[in-house]
Amino acid sequence: MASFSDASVKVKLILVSILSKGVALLVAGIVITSLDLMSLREKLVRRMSIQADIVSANGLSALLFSDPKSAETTLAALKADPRIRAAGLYAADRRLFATYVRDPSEGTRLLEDSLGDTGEGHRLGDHRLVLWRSVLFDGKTIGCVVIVSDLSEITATMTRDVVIFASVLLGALLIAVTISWRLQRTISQPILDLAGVARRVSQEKDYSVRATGESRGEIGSLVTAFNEMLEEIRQQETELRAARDKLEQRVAERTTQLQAANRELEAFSYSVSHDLRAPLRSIEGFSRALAEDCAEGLSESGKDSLKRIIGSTVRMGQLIDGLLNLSRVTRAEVRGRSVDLSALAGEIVAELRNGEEGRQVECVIARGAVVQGDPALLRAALQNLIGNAWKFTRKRASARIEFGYAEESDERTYFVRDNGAGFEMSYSDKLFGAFQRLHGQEEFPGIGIGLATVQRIVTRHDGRVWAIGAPGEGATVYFTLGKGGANGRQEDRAAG
Amino acid sequence: MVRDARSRAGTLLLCLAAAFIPAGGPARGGQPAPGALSEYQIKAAYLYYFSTFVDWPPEAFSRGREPLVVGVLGVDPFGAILDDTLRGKAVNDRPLIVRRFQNIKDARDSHVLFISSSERDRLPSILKALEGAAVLTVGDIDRFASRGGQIAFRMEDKKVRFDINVAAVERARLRISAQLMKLGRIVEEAGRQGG
Repeated sequence: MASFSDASVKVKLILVSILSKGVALLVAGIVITSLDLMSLREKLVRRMSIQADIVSANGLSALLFSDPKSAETTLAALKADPRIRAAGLYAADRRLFATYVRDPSEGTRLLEDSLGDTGEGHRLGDHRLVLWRSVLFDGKTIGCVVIVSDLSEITATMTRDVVIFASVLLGALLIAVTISWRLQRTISQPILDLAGVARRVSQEKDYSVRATGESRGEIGSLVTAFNEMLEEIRQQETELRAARDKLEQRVAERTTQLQAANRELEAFSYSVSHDLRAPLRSIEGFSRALAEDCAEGLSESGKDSLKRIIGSTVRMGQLIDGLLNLSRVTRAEVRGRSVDLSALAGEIVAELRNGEEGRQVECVIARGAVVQGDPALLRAALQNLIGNAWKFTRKRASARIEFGYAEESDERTYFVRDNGAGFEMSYSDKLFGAFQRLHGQEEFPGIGIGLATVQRIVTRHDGRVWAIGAPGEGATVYFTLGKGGANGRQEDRAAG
Repeated sequence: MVRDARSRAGTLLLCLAAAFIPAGGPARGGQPAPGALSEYQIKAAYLYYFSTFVDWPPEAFSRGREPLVVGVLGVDPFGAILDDTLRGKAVNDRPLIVRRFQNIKDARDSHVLFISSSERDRLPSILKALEGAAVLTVGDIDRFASRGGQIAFRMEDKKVRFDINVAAVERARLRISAQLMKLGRIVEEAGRQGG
């Protein structure tokens, strides 16, 4: 029955119709045929017992006057009934007194042992009916009549009945199939249509299609409800799409506005920095000229002031360069290439050692940190980080700088660690702001733009940067490089 | 009473056997059955059977349950056989009684009358005397039926058969059942005058 439950509504409806009608007809046919058979048998028994009664009445005198010839004449009258195969008249002592056989070749075989025990009765077998009646005279049994009858008539009638019934059943089922084939359409077609529409809706996400159906019954209301549901979904979808479009448009507008404002700001800061350089250079140039050419005319305090002016102009030049760098980092295009951070770190440390030969710094550089990114920008970032570490470990007797990386939840994290001055963790959010300084200029000189530059570079590589540290115990700056870091790692593994 | 009942049962058996055994048919024919019945035992039984296949006119009986009289005229060939055979028998609720007559005048009141062969020579006068009486005349006198008697016994293959004179029966206003008619040989009356 699993296959039945999987079958289409159409098939189910037809099967149900055929099955119910077939069973009903079959039951009716069996009942009618059985009743027919019973009544035919009863009728036969009744007819034969009438015949037996007639023979019994007519054979009485023949028995009394012991005239078998007369008895045989009486029995011969049974010839009129083709069903009777044989008949016999028995005497009281159960001797065969007179016989009649339809087919002489059979002889009296059919009559042998046919005599019943009681005065009257019958045996209805599969092929013949044996019926017997006592012949009574003066209240005494003086003999017995036995009639053996054929059932071929009943068999023929039953065969005919069964044939008629089978043809009626077949015809009725054919008509039923035809009718249900037509009628089921009114039920199954709307359901099939509905199923088709539902499939189309779920596959093509097309909520504009509509199921069709005109019937007013449950299927009609189902179709209507389905269509209403589709309409509602379509409306909601339209509204949703409109809202999304509006939102996207607004975001795009805002982004454009922001980008424009950002560009203006950058252009402004760039031009300001650039334009500030020329007057600064002339201040520096004239100050130096003054110090060289008119040194004799200046007092010691005048010379000192002049020296300070020159120092400030140098510092201001550095500031402007830093600003220009920062601006350039923001505007520069990021070119993705394979970059060996380990090699870069080595180069930077060597440069720093050359610049300050007297310092003893232990540098540990992990090998194999190959990433995807912009070589120039990544070099600038590392330069800032290692330069900071170099700077803040100046007061340490045994300075130590480490560059390395670690795997952290599918992402490679790079770090630059030092055992320098460190910082208060509560200021960690200010570390990466431009011109934010946690130490005095005298203690650790600098313009406070290095970590801001690092942050911009890392951000442009889709990475993140953060720092951990404690005052007097050193600092560790961590950074990731987004997809570039992952690519590098894969390359690294391939190389290893 | 006990003796009576036993003898009655015995008589019935005898009587039935008388009816059937001689009719054994070709397969069983030939040798006579052991204890075969005598001719008159059979004839006595036949007299009883005749009475069951014959209808008498209503005026033949004066009252409702008047006995049916079986008479024997002349020298009785049956003896006790007839009494034994008919004892206790009844036809249409009428008990059968046996009477013996020497004079035809007395025999007019009987219903079945067996005319003994001793009356062979007096037969015409006897039949004449019975004219108008509803009496079934039975006899075994030679050519009894053709001489005006109604049913005549005759022997055929050692079996008792009978002839019927239908005209005589009709004259006596009796009706013989077709059952009986088909068993007997119908004979014409020879030389009857004024019929």
